[in-house]
Amino acid sequence: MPRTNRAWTLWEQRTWVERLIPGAVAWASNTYLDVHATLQPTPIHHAYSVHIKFRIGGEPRVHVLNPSLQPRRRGDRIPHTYAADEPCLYWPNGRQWAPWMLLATTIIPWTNEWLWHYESWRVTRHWDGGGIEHDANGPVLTGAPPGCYY
Amino acid sequence: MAHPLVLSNESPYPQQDALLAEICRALQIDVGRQARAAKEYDEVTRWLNRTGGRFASVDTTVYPQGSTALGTTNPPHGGKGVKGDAAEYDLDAVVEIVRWQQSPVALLETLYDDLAANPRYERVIERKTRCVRLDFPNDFHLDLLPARADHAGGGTRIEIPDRELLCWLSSDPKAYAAWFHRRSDLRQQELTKASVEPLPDHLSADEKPPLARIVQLAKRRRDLRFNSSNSAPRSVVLTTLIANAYTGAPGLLAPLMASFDAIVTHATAVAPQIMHVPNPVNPDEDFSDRWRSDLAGRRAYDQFVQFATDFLAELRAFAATQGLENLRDRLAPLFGEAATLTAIRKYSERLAKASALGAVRSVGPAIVIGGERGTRVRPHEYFGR
Repeated sequence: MPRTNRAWTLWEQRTWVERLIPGAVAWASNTYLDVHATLQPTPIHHAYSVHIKFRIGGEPRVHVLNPSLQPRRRGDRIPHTYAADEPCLYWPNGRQWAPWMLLATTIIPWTNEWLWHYESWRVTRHWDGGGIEHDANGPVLTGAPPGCYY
Repeated sequence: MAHPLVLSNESPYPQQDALLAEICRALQIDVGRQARAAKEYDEVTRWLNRTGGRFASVDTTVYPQGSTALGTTNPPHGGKGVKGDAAEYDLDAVVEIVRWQQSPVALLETLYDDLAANPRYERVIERKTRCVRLDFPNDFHLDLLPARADHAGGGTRIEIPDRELLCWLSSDPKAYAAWFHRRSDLRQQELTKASVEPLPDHLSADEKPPLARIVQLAKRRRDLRFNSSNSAPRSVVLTTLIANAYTGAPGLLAPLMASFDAIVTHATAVAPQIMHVPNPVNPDEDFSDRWRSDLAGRRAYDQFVQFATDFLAELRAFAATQGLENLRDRLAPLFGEAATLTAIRKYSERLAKASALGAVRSVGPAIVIGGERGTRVRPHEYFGR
């Protein structure tokens, strides 16, 4: 796995995404990276179209486009999501993910793991993926994207 | 020692195999119940051989037979019996008397009387048509089939009472189990022991050979499809047909589909005749004789062929299904809702454990647990409550 002790440039991130994730299409500028990919955790899971947005200085954000994420019942929240279409993939404490890590080997497989647990939760009502708990009413960490639901 | 696992990348359906393996595990008799059964089994043996007992003067051997010996035991049908449930497992054993000159009825009655003399069995003993049942409520029942050694037949052959208890029928459950284990590539182990033979060691669903697991799955589908109907194909017929067709293909789904493909192909080839299912260790015995006995038998055969055809189609549809909800909808009618939900949950828990251990690997747009392909995925924690 490629390593560096500095932050990857967005151009490098784009190169590795396109190299490691067949079919992924990425667009990069000096400050912004946009990735569209189709992820399928395993052959028995659905294939999901996802959109990853990453701005220098921020956290990578993942949106699941199609098929769209669905709560078990109307009005319910999906576990570990920032928004209805946006999974919370890691604890944004600056250690679990940092810019010296490649999106292609962290955010993307973490999304796959999340999707696996999401499909299982839809069937069993149990979230078996673990995670860090915090107050559903608001962020608890500086820099964390607001509104991560349970 | 674990049987060489087939849940490897050699299988064309490793994920489906993982789910089916979890279903087998959910149907598996649990360790505690197995231990209690083994204890009762030892107790029966000890009691029958005690000094002063009715069988004290003759050599008596007790050994498992049928699904108990093959490792293909399922909980009884009714949607219950998967882990944590209270349904009773049906365990079968042979009580073999070396020399018995009296009638089959006398042997059954003597066995009943001797066991009934044990205060522990006073409330759990029940005489059935051909066997004595020890019924441990909400746990298991042990059906003890009396038999005498078949000295003329030799080897491991025995004689058992016929259904009306009027005469003796030749049988050889030890040889059949040995044949099945050979088909499974298991070495012959307990089958050559002379005296008391313990229940097979508790094998977890992953340790059991694939053949035992695919038989377990087919029997479970049979139970749900026929819902205790008399026309359901006998376990020994299903087991023999599947084991005969088994080629050792890796995985669970592929060999299960291949076996039923072979069964359907054979049924089509002999139609409108009824296929023969000879006992592999006694070709003179035809396990399928009931299908030829009368019109009801013929109808039962036609229902069996339809069952095999439908099950093959169901398995093929399962192989092509994406999405765990869709898979739940496919699997629950085949193997039961509770076993299916348990399997999907365990399947997800495996990922969580592997993720915590750093054993998940990213391969292109997918992930796999273990192996060497792709790149190792860093452990992480989902955020939020």
